[in-house]
Amino acid sequence: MSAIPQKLDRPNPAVKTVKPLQYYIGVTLRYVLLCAVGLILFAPFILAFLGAFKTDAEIIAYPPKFLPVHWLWQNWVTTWNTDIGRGGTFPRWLFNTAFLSVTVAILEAIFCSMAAYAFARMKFPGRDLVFNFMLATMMIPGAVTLIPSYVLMSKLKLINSFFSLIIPGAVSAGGIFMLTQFFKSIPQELEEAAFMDGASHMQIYKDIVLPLSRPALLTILILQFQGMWNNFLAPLLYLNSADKMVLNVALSIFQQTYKAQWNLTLVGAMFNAFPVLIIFFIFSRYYIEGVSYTGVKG
Amino acid sequence: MKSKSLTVFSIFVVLATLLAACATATAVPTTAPTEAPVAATEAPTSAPAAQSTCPLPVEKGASIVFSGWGDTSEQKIYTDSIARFKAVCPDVTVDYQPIPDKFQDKMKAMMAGGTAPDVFYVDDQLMTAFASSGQLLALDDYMKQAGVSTSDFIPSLMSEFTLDGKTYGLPKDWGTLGLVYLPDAFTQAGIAEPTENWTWDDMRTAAQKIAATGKYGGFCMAADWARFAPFVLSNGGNFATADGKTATLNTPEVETMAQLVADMFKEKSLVRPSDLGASWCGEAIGKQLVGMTLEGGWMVNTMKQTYPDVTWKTVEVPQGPTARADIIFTNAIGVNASTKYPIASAALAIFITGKDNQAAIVQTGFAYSTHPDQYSMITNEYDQAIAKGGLLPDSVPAYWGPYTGKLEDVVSKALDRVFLGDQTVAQSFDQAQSEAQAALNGQ
Amino acid sequence: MQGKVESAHSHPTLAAILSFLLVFILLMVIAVINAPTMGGPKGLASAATYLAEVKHTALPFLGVVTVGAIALGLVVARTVYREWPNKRKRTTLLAAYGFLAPYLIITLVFTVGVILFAFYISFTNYDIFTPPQWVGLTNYLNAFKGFVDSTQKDFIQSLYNVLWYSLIVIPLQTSIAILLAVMVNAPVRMKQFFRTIFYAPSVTSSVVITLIFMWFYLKTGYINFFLAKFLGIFGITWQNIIWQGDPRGLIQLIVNAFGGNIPSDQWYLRGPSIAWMSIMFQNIFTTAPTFMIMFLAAMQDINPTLYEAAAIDGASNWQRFWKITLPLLRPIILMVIVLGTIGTLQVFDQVYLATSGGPLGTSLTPVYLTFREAMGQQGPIRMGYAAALAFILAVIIFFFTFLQRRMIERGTEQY
Repeated sequence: MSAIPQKLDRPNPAVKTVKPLQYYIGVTLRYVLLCAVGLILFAPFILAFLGAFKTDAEIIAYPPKFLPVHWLWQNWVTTWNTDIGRGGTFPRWLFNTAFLSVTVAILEAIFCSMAAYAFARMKFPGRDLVFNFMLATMMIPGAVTLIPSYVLMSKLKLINSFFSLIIPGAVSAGGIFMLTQFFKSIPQELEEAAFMDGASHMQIYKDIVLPLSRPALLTILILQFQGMWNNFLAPLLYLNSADKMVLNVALSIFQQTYKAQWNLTLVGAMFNAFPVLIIFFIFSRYYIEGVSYTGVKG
Repeated sequence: MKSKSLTVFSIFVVLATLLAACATATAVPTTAPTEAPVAATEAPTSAPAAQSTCPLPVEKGASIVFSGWGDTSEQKIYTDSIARFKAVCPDVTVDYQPIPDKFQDKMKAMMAGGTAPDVFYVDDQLMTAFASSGQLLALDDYMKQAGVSTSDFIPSLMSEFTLDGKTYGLPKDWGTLGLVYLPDAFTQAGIAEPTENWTWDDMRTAAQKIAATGKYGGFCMAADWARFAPFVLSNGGNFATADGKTATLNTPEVETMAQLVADMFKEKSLVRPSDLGASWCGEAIGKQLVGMTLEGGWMVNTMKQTYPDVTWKTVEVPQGPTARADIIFTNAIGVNASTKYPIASAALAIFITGKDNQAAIVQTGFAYSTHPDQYSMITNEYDQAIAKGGLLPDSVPAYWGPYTGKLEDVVSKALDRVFLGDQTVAQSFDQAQSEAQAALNGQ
Repeated sequence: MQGKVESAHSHPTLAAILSFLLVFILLMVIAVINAPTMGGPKGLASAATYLAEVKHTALPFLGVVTVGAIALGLVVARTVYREWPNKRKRTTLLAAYGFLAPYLIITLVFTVGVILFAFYISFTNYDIFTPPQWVGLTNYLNAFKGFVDSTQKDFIQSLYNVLWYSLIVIPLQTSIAILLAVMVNAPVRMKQFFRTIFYAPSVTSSVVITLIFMWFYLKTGYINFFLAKFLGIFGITWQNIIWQGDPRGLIQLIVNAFGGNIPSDQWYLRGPSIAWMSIMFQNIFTTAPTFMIMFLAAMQDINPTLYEAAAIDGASNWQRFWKITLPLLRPIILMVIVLGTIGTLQVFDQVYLATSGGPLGTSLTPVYLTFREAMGQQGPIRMGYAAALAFILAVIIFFFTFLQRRMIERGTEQY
C-alpha cells in the first residue's frame, strides 16, 4: 500500500465527499466578482450604446440617466444617411474602410509570413542584422515622419489613392516579429524531410509551413484588419476626397456637421466599433492567442 | 501588428466647440470665431445675383479648387457665393472642397506635398506658415487691376494679412466681443441695465450687486487671452508691440487690468464658467447662471438654437480708463502662389470678399462684412451692438506675428495661475513676460 | 572539368558586381526621393525643378548616403561573392532575400528614407517651404534648455509628465493585469466568455475609447455622477470637477489638504495633475487587458503538479499565488513592465484629442510636443526641432527596449 496516491487529480469515486458550504460560497463569489469586473470593463460600450439613443438634452443632462427616455432610432438613421456630397456617404465610407482593412490584412499575411519564414527557417548572412534593424524601426515615433511621409507620397503621386495606405501597410515589423516567433515554435521535422526530398523553399513554405500556421495567420489577419480599421491620421492626410474617406475620418465630419451633438457622435462611434467588436467576439480565441505570441514565447 | 508609427496616430479630432471647452478652461468661442458663427438667422435666402462683371480677365477654361472649414451652414454660404461668382465669371470652374476639420494641419501637409487648393481660407496660423516663405500669392497687382484697394476693407483687418507691404489675404469676415447680459439678473439686483456708456467699473459694481443676490453669478470670464484682451486694450496696453517683436505683458497697463480681474475674482463678482458648471460663458448665459459676460456674434445663433426661451441683450464692449477698444478675430481668403490659374484664383478671392458678395453674406446673418460701410447691413440688433466694438479706432486684430499662438497661450496660462491663487498678478505676469518674450524671440 | 570550375567561379564576380549595383542604385534612388530640400509646390513643380533643388541643397545629404550606400553595397557584394560558389548557400541566400524582398523594399522606400531625411533635418532649421539651414546640435541642446531657462521648459515638462505616468500606470496596469489573469484563470465555466469581455476595451480604436471617456469625464458625466453617489453613501459631498481641465497636481492637493501650497514656479514639485491622471486611468482601462492575456498565457504554462504538490503540503490559495505563481511569472512581469514603459513614453492620441497638452502643460508628452512643433501649431513650423525631439525620444525608447531583450533572455534561462 503506497502512502502516496498515484493519481492526484481524480478523487476516489468510492468516497463521497460533501463539499463544504465554503466551496459554494467561494464559487459564487468568484462568479460575482467576474461579472462585476466584466461589467466595469465593458461599461463604456454599454453606456455609449445607450447614449446613442438619447436626445441632445439627455446626453449632457445631470444627473445622467442610464436608459434613454425614448429610444431614438432616428439618431442611427440620421447618421447613416449623412451625405456630404461628391460621393461622401456612409455606406461608401464603410466600404472604403472595409476594403482597405481586408486588403492590408491579406497582404500582410502574405508578406509578413514570407519574411518571417526567412528569419525563422533560413540561415543566411545578415539575418540577425536585418532582424534587429526591423526591431529598431519599430521604435521611431511617427510624429516626425508625418509630413516627410506626406511629401514622399506626393512625389510618388499617391495622394488620394488607396495605394498610399495599402503599400506601406502591406508589411509591418510587429507582424513579422510575431510570425517569426510562431514559426520557430513549429517542429521542423516535416520541413527537413521535404527538404531532403528536394523541395524548394517556396514549396516548403507554401505547402507545409503555411497550412500549419493557420491560427497565427488568422491572428495576423485579424490584428491587421483591426489596425487599419482604427487608423486615423494617415487616412486623414492621404485620402482627401469625400468618396475616399474612411470611418474614423468620417467621425470627425459628424463632429463638425452636427456640431458636437454627443448622441450622434456616439452613434458614429458605435458604427465604428461594432464591426471590430463583432469580429473580435467571433475570433476571440485566435486574437488572444496571437497576442500572447508576441511576448510570452519570446 | 501595425507599426507603432501608424497606430500611434489613430487620432481623433477635437470637438471643435462647446465640449472642447469642457476639457480645457480656455474658451471654445475663441476658436468658434475663426471657424465662423453658424447657421443663418434671418433672411436665409441668398441675395440677388451680383450685378457686377467678372473682376478680372480670367484665363479661359480655368479650373480651380477652393477650400475652407465650417459646418453645413457655412458650406452653404460659400456654395452660394461660388454660384454667384460663376454667374459673373462663367469661364471659371470652381471645385469647392471643404475640409471641416483639422484644416490647418491638412493645408500645411497639402502645401508641402504640392497638392494644396488654389484658393483657401487663411488664418493667422496659415499666414505664419505660408506668407514669409512665399507660398501665398501677392494680390496687390490683381487688386489694382480689379479696382479694389486695401482701404476698401476695415483697416485693422488688413494688417494681419499684410507682410512687407504686400497683401496676401483679403479679409472675408470678422468677429468681436460685446457685453452680453441677462436683463432679469439686473431686475433681480434692482439696478439699471448696461448702457453704451458703461465703463469696467460700472460693470464691476453691477457684477457685485448681481452676485449679492445669490441667484446669478456676476460677470463670467474664463482664463482666456481673448476675453482679457478688451480689458488690456481699453487701458492703452497690448500683449506685444505692433511688430510682434517685444512682449509687453509686465507693463502697468496690462497688470492694472489683470489686477482688476483678479480682484473681481477674489470678491467673487467674477466667476469662471467652470465654477458655474458650464463649459463656456455662453452656456452660462444660456443656462441663466450668470448676469453678464463678454461674447461675440455667435451668441445670436447659439441662443436661438439652444436656449430659445431665454431673454438676453447686448451692448457694446465697456469703456476702459483710456479708451474703448475691442479684440478682433478675422480670417481671410488667400491664393496659392503656385496655382496654375492665378488670375482666376485672384478673381475668386476678390469676388468672395467683394462688396456684393459680402452684402449677401451679411444678410444671412452668418458673419460681419469686412467693408466698413456695410456695417449698417447687420440685421440683428444684438449683432450690431457687438459689432460696434470692432469698428472702434483702437480695436486691434488678434495677431502678433508668427508666434501669436504661443503668445496667446502664455497669457491664458498667466490668468489661470492668477485665478488658481498660485501667484500674485505681478509674479504671474512677470513670468508670462519672460515666457512671451522667449516665444517672440523664436526660441 | 576545368571549364566547369572556371565558369562556376566566374559567376561570383558578376553576381557580386550586380548585387553591388542593385543595392547602390536602390539606396541612391531612395535618397534622392527623400532628399531634404525645400518642399512645397515650388520644389515639386516638376521632376526637373525637384532635381535642381536637390542639387542645390541636398548634396551633403546625398554625399553621406552615398558613402553609406557604397559601404553597404560592398558588404553585400562581398557576401554574395563568398556565398555564390556554394550552390546550396547561394540558393538559400537568394531564397532568403527573395522572401524578404517585399518587406525590405517597402521598408526602405517608405520608412528608412524618411527616417534618414528626418535625421538629417534634426540638425537643421527647416520649415518645409524654404531650404533647410544647417545648425548642428542646436536643436538637441535646445530641447534640454528647460533645465536652465524656465521659459523653455516644454520638453522637460513632457519628460516629467511621462515619468509620473510611468510611475503610476505601470505598477497599476501590471498588477491589475495579473489580478485579471488570476480571476479569469480560475476554474469556472464560461472562462472563455469572461476572457473575451475583459479584453474588449483593447480592441476598438483609441479614438472611440477616448471619445467615450471624454463624454464620461464631462462635468455632467458619469464619472462625477458615480463619485457623487458613491461618496454620498458615506455622507461626503462631492464637488463635480472638470476632470480634463484641472491642473492641480496630486502632491499639491495633498499639501493643500494640510493647508500648505506649492508655488507655481516650483511646478515640478506638484505631481501629476488631475487632468493627466484622468488620462492615465482611461489608458489603464485599455492596456491592462492586453497584458492580462500575456499573463494568462504564461500562467497556463505553469506545471500544475507544482500546485498540487503545494496543496498536499497544506499551502493555501494565497500562499500558492505568492510563492509559486508570482515567482514563475517574474520574467513576464519584467517584460510587461518594459513594454509598458515603452508604451507610456509614446502617449499621444489622448493628449491630442482631449487636452492638447493639458491645463498649464500638465499633459504634454514628448510625442505630442514633437507633433505640435512639426505642424507649427503655436508658431512657425519647426521640423528640425521636432525631429531632434523625436530622436532623443527614440534613444530613450531604444534604451528600454535593449533592457527588455536582456531581461527576456535572462528570464527564459530561469526556466
